[in-house]
Amino acid sequence: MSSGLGRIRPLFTLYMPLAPFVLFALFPLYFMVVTSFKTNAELYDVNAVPFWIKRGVTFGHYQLLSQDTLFWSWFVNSLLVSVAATIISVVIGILAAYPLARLRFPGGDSFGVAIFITYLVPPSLLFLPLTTVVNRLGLSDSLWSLVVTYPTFLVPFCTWLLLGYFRTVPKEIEECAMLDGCNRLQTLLRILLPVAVPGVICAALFAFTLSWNEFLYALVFVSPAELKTMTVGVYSELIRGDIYYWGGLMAGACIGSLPIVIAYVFFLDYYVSGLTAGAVK
Amino acid sequence: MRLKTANGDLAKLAATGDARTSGLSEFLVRDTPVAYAFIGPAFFLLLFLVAYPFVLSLWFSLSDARVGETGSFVGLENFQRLLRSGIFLQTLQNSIIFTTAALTLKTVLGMILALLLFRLVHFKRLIRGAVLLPFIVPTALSTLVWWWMFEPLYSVVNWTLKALHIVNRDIPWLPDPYLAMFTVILVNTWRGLPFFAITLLAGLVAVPKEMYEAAESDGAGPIGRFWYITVPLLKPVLAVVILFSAIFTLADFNIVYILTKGGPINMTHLFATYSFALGLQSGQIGQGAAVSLFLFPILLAVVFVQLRLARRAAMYE
Amino acid sequence: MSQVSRRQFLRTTAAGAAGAVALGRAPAHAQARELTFLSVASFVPDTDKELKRQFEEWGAKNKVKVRLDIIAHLQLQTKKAAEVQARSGHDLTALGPGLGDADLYFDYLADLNDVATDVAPKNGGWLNPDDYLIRGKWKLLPWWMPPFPMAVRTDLLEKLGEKNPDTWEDWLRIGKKGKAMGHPFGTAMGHSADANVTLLSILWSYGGTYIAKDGKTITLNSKETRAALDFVKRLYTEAMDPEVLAWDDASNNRCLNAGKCIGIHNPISAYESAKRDKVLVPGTQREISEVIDHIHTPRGPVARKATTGYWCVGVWNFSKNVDLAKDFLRYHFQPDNLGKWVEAGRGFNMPFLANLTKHAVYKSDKQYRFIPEVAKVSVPPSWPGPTTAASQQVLDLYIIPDMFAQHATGKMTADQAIAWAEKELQEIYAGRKRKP
Repeated sequence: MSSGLGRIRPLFTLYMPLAPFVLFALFPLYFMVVTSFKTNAELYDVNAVPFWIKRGVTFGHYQLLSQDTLFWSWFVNSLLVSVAATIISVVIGILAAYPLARLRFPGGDSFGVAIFITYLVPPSLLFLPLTTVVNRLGLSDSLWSLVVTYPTFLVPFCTWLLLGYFRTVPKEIEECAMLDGCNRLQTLLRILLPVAVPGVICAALFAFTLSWNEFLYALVFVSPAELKTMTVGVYSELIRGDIYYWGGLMAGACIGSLPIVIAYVFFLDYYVSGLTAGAVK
Repeated sequence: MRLKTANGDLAKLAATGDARTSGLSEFLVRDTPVAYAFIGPAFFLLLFLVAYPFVLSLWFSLSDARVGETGSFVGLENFQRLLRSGIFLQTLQNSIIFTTAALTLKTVLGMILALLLFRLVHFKRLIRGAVLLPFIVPTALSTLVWWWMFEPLYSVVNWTLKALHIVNRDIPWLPDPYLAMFTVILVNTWRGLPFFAITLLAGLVAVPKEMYEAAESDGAGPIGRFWYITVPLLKPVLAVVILFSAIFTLADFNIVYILTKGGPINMTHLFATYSFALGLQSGQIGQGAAVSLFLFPILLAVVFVQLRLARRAAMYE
Repeated sequence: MSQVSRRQFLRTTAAGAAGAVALGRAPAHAQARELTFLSVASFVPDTDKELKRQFEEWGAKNKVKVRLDIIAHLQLQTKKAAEVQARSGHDLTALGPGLGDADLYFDYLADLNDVATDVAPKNGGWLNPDDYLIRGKWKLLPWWMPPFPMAVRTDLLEKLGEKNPDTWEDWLRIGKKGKAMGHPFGTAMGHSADANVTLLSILWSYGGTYIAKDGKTITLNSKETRAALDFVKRLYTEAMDPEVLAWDDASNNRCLNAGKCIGIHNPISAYESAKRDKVLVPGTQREISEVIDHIHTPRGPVARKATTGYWCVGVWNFSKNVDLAKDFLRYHFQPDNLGKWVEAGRGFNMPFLANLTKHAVYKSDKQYRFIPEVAKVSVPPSWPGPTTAASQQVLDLYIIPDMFAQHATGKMTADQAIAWAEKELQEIYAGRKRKP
């Protein structure tokens, strides 16, 4: 960053040190993609070079996914659930973060801490009692069970992130708006939210990622084949006892990563700037 | 900074806003009914879907509950039994090693990576996006890739090392207890590193440039600037990121469950996997809950203190 | 496909919304009679298709809507626990592996005494009914087992000049010679179901046991157990690669099919997938399935004994359709239907009924000839004790494989390993005592 450096220097001080990080991050994913296009004969040949495909690319694993399983239904289910859970969580998060950031009221501090403490309860344990609740609500075997339960681990994070973000926004403009007769909700919607867009997008991306990756609740609360989410579906069809369909599993992982990758490509800058304010404060 | 935050008056003053708080905002700030209305949805969601199951979990750990039964109160018997079990003590040790090592790696590497990313000018989006990927690919599936990479027979890692003549025989990544621990730590680091790097990068972006310029004109070198400006300013972010990550790392399930199932000889069992084997597979919910909640009191204390400190520091700033 | 699921989503959405409004009340059932069945993805996919066909056929005949849900077998534990906790879920459920679920979920499983009695005579009777009775009751029907023969590479045996290996000592010798030329013996010794099966088989073959017939006395500390430990140590160091410590259930299949292992102790699934994928012996044009043979599970100095996964089926007693569920079980366990289902599994899934062990499928391929023999010497993993939740926990915590591994890797002496396992076993059995 400092001035007066040669043009060559960043190559040694920046790009070369970065290379191992990028390699470390990307290699497993590259390997995932390569595996998904390999024929079984090559995949299971111990003498074959594992890095690339020599004996022809196959789309067989993708075909297996599309034709022999309900993959696309699972994909759409994952999408529906993740979008719905994200919207709900972000809305609840915004509502909760606003008073925590702006208002002083009895119990406010404790609530802020309580929200964080929910993360201390391991989901591997929480899910059993939660099963009873979901069943009482009559939501078993419906995607709603996931839309309702995912916010339990999304809302705390969204609230916490947005709370930080709201704090960075100067409150003077809000005070002016209220002098002009706006109520709290109007101020939040018209004044605060428009300037807090990066924070909201950051929270939404986070929530979407966590929902998309969720496995345990999706496994426990939903059984019918056509209602499964993607990861659970792929697991149940492609791991058969002591036989793993490696190509198919990797193909599922590739397609399954796409929506999130696309989302991040579009919103990466917001993500960083959202975190900048949200996480720092 | 710590000295100042310890000063309660100052912190309180900071919490209420600027020193020049006007009469109007003093009024706005006391808006209890509105606050409750806004917090309502979050409160009830957490009450029904987290608090209730959580209290039940606490009860489980103090009872002889089996799957489907509420059980009766047995005090701390579950915890006492755990302390007598060799497997649990091993699990405790594993969890501490796993969490400490993974957190250290993620913090150090994450800091280095963030500093590098911060200086990027060309291909900024592309490279930032690339290093973020491990964090966003579904864990349940990405862990399978790692398993395939370390699978004894087809391991691409061993193949490469042999092809480069670095070793002449297979390295037992998963069969050797110590290497297995190393491997699960490696995979956890792979997955968690982007979170550290991007959040710290966000912290770096927020540091006012003037501070660096001022330090530079005072004659501070790059290392001096890092220690006296970057590190202190990033402290609150670091604290929260480490706290978050510590909780999630300690509760990690997928990586161990897929790569080793706690083996070889229980040398990689973590709280979550052992709790699963004991509580779910064997139906001893009480015991399983005790494993999961073993560190809860300590964690609770740490979170409480950390969160207060971090928030006050941030507010004061 | 996706249209169906959309409609389904809307339908369940409506049901969910209605349920959410009427907090605590059970959702109204659109159709009065629907029977649901949770099963695990079969190792041979055609088995699932045949089961589905029979289920739907039965549903059509009885005007009952049916739904078969398949999950990966590793996820069954979680799912069962959740359904019991909620007292809601499927009507019929696969149980296992192991008969332990009958004890663990004793209070939540419907009695199947009547069904067990009905289906037995037509099928030549149950193989070992006493094994399946838990606390004197039929809480589940044993459904199928994958017997564990020894899968061998005939071409490699020939090269070594070995013929008809029959004892565990034979396999040590062969494995030793094989390892020298890059073809070790392979059996899992880590945290996997296969490790439990094979290492228990060896323990018994050398005369050792871990529990007495009373299901209370720990009998591990014996010179027979020491002999088994020393044998496994030699097998591990001389005839196998250390990778076996990290093996899961799929690893030995891969080792055989990749052309590496000279022999593995495993059901016929490896052979089936090699045949399907037309895997070649490395460096040749020969299919590996042609040079694989399956022979009897080895015998030791004391006995020839093995165990396997006991997969079962049961009916939750909180189901609203217990009678319908039983009716379907009767239908599925008719000799005809069971026969078709065994055929679809190509011999992988052997029922616990005498006539079915003589099914024509076992004569259809010479590979299968020993499977009925292996089934005859297979006993539940709790042998000689009864199956209980405690015996199930011994498997879930991999106490036996860990004992063998600690000695084999040199981490502990035989006595230390036994003492370690004894302590863990005592804790497990003590913690499982039923309150009066």
